[in-house]
Amino acid sequence: MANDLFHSRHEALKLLQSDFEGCITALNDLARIHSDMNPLGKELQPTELESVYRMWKVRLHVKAIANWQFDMDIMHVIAPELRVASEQIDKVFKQVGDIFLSTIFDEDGKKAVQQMQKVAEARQDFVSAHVHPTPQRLQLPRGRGGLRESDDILHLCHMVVLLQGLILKYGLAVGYLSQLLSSQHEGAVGRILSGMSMESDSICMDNLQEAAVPPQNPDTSP
Amino acid sequence: MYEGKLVDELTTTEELTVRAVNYRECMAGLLRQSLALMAEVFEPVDLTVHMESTIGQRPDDDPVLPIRLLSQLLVKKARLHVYAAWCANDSDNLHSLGVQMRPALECAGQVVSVTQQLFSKKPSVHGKLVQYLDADYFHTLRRITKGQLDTASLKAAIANAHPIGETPPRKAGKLGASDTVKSLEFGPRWYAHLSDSFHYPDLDALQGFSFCGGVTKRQPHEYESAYAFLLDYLAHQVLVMIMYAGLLSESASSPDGLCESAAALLNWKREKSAQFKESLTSSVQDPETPLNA
Repeated sequence: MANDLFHSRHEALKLLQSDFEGCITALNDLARIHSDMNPLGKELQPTELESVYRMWKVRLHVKAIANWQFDMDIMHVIAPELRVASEQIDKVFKQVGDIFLSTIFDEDGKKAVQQMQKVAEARQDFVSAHVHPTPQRLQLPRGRGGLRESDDILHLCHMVVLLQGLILKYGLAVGYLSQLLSSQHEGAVGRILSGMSMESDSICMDNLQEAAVPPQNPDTSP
Repeated sequence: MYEGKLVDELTTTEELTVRAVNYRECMAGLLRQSLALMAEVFEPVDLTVHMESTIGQRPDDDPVLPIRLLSQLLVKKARLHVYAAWCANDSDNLHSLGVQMRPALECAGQVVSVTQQLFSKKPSVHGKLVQYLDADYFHTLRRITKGQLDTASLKAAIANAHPIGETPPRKAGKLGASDTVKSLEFGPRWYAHLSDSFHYPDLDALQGFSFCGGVTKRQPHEYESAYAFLLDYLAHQVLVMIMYAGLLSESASSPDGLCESAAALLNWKREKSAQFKESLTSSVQDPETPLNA
């Protein structure tokens, strides 16, 4: 029994590491496509220009995230970048609205995107816990923004789900930018997003439903 | 080709860029040294486990121990962000540097304020320390229970468990993140600058100077100076944090050595920083503008 448990835990960690590395590759690919568009050199309307500048900032934070290698404490350094990048993309989408989404997704696709966004939003607490350190918060387990060793699988699940949420958002935003700039990269973005696979059989995606539920009986000891 | 303000001698922007690059390299090297010093602050134990087994058991033997462990946790967290900031500089990513600085400064500010309050001779300041830890506990508990906990009973429980009966009841409200940097020199101003420029920039900031969160490289010397100024402030505050953490440290190979090393680096940094800033701000003249204009 113990051996089985160790085996599955070890396997789960390997799967999560592979998911993490997949996320980093996808982020790097998207950043490269974004960079190739050279959006800062184009003549644009003020609202479009704002999206372009915000997206360029997102690219810088995505590059910073994509520079890290798999490590248990990595969420501490990824969290501030992830938070800023997500907020900037949200501001871009606020201007774009649902019109853009309806041009590239059918109804099922839109539902999947919305579900993924909901899961990523539900995990924002997880991100913000890592951003403002205080002595009490640092005593909490890793999954709650602290430094205490804890259930690494759940902690890594949160991280990978968040990264996948970022890929989705960034991919859509780069797709929008591509449309805006009438560039030739739209197809490449679509390939990266489909390669990411919304129906992934990874342990993360299996745990999405579970991860969306707020934790019960939290460990409250100081 | 030329830009700037006053005076006697003209300096080309190329020369300014070289000076800014040297300034940046110097500060990055200092940050690297600070990282090595930070590692000396930790004791070779799992801090969180040690904390649990220590709090409430040994206050008579060593009343400073819980605060020392808290500080070490903060230093450990700060080290992660300082390393990320150093990597950001290394990979030429100013925005990542700006974003990683804020949590590092929050940690530094808390180490400094907690240590100052601990060693203060005024009893009222000790009360402030207890209030701060109390408020931190309250807000952390509320955050992890996602508001499902009755705050009235939580406050009552904290008040009953409180070792100091004279402490006034904790007021409602948030434990502001910006409050954590109040003990640092220009802390609130830098915190606001980092927030406005790198965390929540508007379009003006994104189109503006690199130091203010601009995403484009306008002039090389302006871009390099932005790195240098950010690294300068971060390295300074990190060294201050190490000095304060060194005061609490019992570790030791040599607690005094840690403070002295940090203080020596700080003094060296002050001199270098003044020289670089002087070289960047003086002796520049726009050739289009007459000297006596």
